[in-house]
Amino acid sequence: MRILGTILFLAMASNLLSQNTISDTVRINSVTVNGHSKTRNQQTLDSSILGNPQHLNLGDLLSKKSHLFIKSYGIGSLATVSLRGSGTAHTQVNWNGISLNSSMNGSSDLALFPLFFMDQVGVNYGLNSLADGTGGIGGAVNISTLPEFGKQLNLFSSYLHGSFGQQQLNVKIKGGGEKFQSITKIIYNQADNDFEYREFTTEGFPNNKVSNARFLQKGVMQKFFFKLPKNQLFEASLWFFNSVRNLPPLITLRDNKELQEDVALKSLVKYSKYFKNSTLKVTSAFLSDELNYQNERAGIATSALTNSFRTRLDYEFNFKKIDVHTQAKYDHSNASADGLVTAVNQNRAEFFLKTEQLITKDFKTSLSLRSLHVVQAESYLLPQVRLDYQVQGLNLHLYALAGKNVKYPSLNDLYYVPSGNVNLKAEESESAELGAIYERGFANNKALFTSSATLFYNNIANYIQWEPTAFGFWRPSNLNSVETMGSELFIELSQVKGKIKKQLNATYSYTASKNYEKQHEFDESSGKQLIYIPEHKGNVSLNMEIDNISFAMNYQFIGIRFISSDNEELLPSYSLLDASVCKNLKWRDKSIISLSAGVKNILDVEYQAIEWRPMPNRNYFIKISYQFNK
Amino acid sequence: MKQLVYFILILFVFSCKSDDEQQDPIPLNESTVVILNEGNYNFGNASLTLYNEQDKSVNQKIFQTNNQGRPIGDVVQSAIQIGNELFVVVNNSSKIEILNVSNLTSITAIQQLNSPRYITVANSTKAYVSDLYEDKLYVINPSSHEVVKTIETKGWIEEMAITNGKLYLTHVDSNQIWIFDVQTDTVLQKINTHQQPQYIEIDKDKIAWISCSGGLNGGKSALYKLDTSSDSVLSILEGASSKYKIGELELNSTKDELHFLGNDGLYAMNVNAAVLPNSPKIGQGNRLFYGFSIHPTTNEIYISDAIDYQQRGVVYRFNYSVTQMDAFKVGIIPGDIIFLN
Repeated sequence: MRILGTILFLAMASNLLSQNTISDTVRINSVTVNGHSKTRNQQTLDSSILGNPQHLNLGDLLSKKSHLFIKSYGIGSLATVSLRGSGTAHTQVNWNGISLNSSMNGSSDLALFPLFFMDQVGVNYGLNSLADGTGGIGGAVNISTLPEFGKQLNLFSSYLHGSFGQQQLNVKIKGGGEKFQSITKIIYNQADNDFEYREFTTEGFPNNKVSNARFLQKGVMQKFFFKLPKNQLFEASLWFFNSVRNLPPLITLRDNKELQEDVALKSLVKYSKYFKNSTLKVTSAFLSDELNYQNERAGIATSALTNSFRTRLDYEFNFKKIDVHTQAKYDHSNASADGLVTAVNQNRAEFFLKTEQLITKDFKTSLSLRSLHVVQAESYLLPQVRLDYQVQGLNLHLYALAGKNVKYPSLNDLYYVPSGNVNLKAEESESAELGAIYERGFANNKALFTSSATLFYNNIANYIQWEPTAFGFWRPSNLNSVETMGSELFIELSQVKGKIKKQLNATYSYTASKNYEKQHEFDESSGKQLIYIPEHKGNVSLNMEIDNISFAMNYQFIGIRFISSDNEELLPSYSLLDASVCKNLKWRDKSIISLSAGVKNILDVEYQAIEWRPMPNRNYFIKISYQFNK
Repeated sequence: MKQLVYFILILFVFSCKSDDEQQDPIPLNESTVVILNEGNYNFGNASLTLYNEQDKSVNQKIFQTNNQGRPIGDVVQSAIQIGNELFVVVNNSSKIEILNVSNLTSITAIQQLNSPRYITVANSTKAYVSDLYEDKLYVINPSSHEVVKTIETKGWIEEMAITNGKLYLTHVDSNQIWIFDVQTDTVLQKINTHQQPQYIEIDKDKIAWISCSGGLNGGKSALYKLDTSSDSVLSILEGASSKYKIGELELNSTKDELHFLGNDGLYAMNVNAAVLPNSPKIGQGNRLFYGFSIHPTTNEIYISDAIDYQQRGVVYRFNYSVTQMDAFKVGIIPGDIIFLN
């Protein structure tokens, strides 16, 4: 009934604003067939959305604005991602093209990525992630920092105060000229997270406050951009982030007094040279991630340190009307941890060749081949083919693609003591996707309607799963062959009318992610949805801007999630509604003061994203920001 | 503005939810088996299943049903019946729930323990509770439901047994058996063992059998045979390779045949045997045996199968000559099986 209601709601909400709307902030699956423009299947979120105080971090943003499902353990707590029904380690997070996924566990905690550090966030769904590397069986999240040349001095500072002791301070200093830019960003974020919840383990279900949930995050980012003669660009970025999180206990257990500290240092240099018909880019990064964990109750204190050197070279050129993209990547990772007997290393290289050719003015083909070579281990060849067709006169683009991807086991999978399994095979996927994109402008292109629909299929062989054993430890094994399939829908209406800007967008995804292996007659998991992957997920966002006042509202629906593999146990669906309003005031020509206020979970929904982990009810924030431009 | 009001109204309509229904406690009969479903660590999905030996009926989540919808907690590790009360050790919820055996409603709980594992009873006013993290042994009074005192143990303690006025405990961290005087609670002796001693049983001749898993780094499993009158090791039976595992131990009703969980099934051996058995009494096959119990009077063997650790498991019921009599679905990760009397 909830699902039906949501679909109905999506339809009604779309109708509400179908008369008017625009904006250029969100694009999904925008494909251009003509000319030499790149073909892409990417959802892009720019700074106007990233800056909305409704979104706490990258995980929070993607949960509300994309087809990704974020498995969040609470505000500021661990946030892992599932894309197209795949596992946590099957989504790559790339920063300017360099993977940020941990070599230790293969995944990324999106709660550790502050939006203030990013200028743009994109999602490459499914096989489209192969443009940047292997491993993104579900897809990839690309975060970018972008240059903005021009003589200027820009100072920005904001302070947010929210419920449960949340305080967030952001500072940005940007300066430079036509050939040099320096950008410095500083963040400080903390919250007590001591919200109330119903204590279901005590008779009468009394209200209680979440304990041991405080977090403190501090970070600084420095970026330099140099525009060099002869169309050359050099950039250098440094990203330091420190997060100290107390880990709140489940409702059902006593406080463990757990604490996790993450210290991340990410440095990146990039050189680009734009020739007449070609482009050369070289990107190198050094990434250092330290994780310290303490459990006071168990008397446990462990630490893990991962250092990675990752580099890639891209050369794109046109040869006889064929666009060619070549790429070479090298990745060296070193990890030392209490869970590893000795420090372990992994070296891998990837090579990529892609050609794109217009067969007719409406029809384009793209062929690519990527190879992964793990030193002293296996090699994999991953072909991909893509066809694009533009239906003239209908503003309709159709595309189809198919190919393979691979996710090599993480260092923990292979070497963690006592249960690492060096005999693990890489997870290999075979995928196919069909899509249609429709765009149409109205009222002299002051209003725009965009929509897309995608069908996808993915078969993941050698699915790696960690399971407990009867002898007291967990062990990974290649258990299941998993099939995921589904559809993704996107609608956007945007309009500019005088001083009024409106934008409405809605996403809906259906995901079936199933294992078809059966251990024996009592195994009822075969053909059932994998745990914690919702079949239905939807979002509706409404943004309005009238003169200097802007209004943003976001509605999110998460369908039921099964929590046992036989689908006998489930968590109910939930809907969240957030809204905020912002007023910009000009001050002495060069300054802008912005005042924002917002409410999250307006409907005061009591819900659990993870079983027995309470989430906050209705809560509030106010924010003031000051911007100086010279 | 009207649009916004519609928007919010629609959301309210689809966010309504019904209240949980409550039921009267389900009474137990005289031939009831309680299956302890551990649940996943840190998932809070532990539960108790009731099984009627006579009519083979099954009631899932009996604790939650009979206690106003309240879940039992995180990781139900073990349980023991003391008089008319069932003491259920809920490991990761740091408590012992004390239930009325007539309907499994909660009488009270001993809270604020650390990570309790097993209980062994000395008498009606004294029982010991082992713990994973606390570095102590709890001494509780089962009648008053209180922690009376703690005893320093410096490390992880698993199963314990009492005989001849002495407490034998498996000290996992030190790879030792510690022997205490039950009267004075003082250490009498410590005996070195293979890696990770975890389970202990006392046979008909008051011989203590202790199984050592071999640890997490590929060590061999071993079975220690200890004379409790002299506290000397009579023999050590070691697995042929590190793949030969010896886990949970149980004795039959006459306490002359020892059963243990190996890596490929349930093994059995006479207490006078000089070597370990080569093949299992009940092979595991594609199943995932996680725990077992032997009925104290009928000798029927109940084995739990966790399947994939993520779905409701199965318990298989065999007679002593291993003919399967029944199989029934239980909760997630079924471990120990308790026969109420």
